[in-house]
Amino acid sequence: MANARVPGVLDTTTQQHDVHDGTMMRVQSPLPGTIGQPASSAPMEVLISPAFQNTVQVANNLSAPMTWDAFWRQAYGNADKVLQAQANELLKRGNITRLEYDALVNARNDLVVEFRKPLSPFGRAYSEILKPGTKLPQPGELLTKKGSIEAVLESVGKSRASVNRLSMVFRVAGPALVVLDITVTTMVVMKAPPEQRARTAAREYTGLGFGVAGGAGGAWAGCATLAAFGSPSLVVPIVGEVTEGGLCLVGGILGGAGVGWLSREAGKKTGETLYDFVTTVRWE
Amino acid sequence: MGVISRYFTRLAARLQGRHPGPPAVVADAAGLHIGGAVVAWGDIRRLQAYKRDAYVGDCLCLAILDAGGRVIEITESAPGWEAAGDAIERHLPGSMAHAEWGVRLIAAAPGETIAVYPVA
Repeated sequence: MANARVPGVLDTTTQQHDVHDGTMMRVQSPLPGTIGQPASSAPMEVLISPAFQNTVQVANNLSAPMTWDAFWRQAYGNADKVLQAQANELLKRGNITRLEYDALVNARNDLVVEFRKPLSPFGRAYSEILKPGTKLPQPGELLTKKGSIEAVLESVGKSRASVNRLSMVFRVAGPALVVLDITVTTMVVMKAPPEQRARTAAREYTGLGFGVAGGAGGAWAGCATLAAFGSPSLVVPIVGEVTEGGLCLVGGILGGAGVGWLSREAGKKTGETLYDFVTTVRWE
Repeated sequence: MGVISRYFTRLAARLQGRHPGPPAVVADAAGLHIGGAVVAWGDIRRLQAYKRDAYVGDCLCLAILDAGGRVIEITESAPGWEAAGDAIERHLPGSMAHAEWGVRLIAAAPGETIAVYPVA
């Protein structure tokens, strides 16, 4: 038959190999790993900007003591509700005796004293400014002419609302900042080279402790320093608990932020020095 | 005494825990003596009790409106506060009993006020 040929492979060689049916190619398989990236590459890098780190640290130095106080304010509010219920029971019954009245007033005064004991120095100073705790008479200091009873009552309501708002902010943002600060500090430690990690941990965690303690002290110092300006004969010619309280609050925020930051830096240096001392000294 | 030395006097007082308190309240037959001011019983037009927010705790207060339109605030921190409450009950017929407005004040919700005189 014309153009006829013997069946066979089409390539140039005529040598045939005997490969069993179903056999796949016999080569080395790749190692299992993530898709799109070689299995041997480095773990994901997390970058923390110094500006973000400083912002978190300064905010936490300042807010940690104020958050503590805000939770005590809430706890006092809950305890006060029990007293309110007791007072309402007495009112329902009527014919309140002097003895019952005195007992209720004493219980309420004890409650205020006990709930102020655990406050930070700032919280105690702020509370004392809003409600003078000592009884040294200063003629004319708090004797104020405020126009009308309605104006006085209105200012009372406004003052409570603003302190409530502030307290709420600290109760919500404060714990979040504490967690964020600890997380950022831990990340800074974990990013350090393995041989430097222990030293970095000593520096960063000591700094964190010093920062929070310094923030508490600074808030108190700032409150005292600025609140003392509120006097008719001094810089702010208005007196009263609202003015002094406002100055105390502003001073507390500035003092807490400033001294807290300085304390954290000092704490970092102290942590490093302590680490160097402990790891290089020979104990005999 | 200059402004700076006055400032440091106040600052030292605060740091030593000697925060200036409110003026003493003294009640007698003539009226209420608050610091240097006197409010005669006959001049008292209205008394309103309320609580001021004190961050942790409250401060019990009494606003006094006199015939001249003056509003004077006395607080529970003022020496003579309890005696003044008793004297108001004695000298102002038609005012609420001291024990009653005291208990009402403790029972009051934030922002609520108690009309001590005249009783609402």
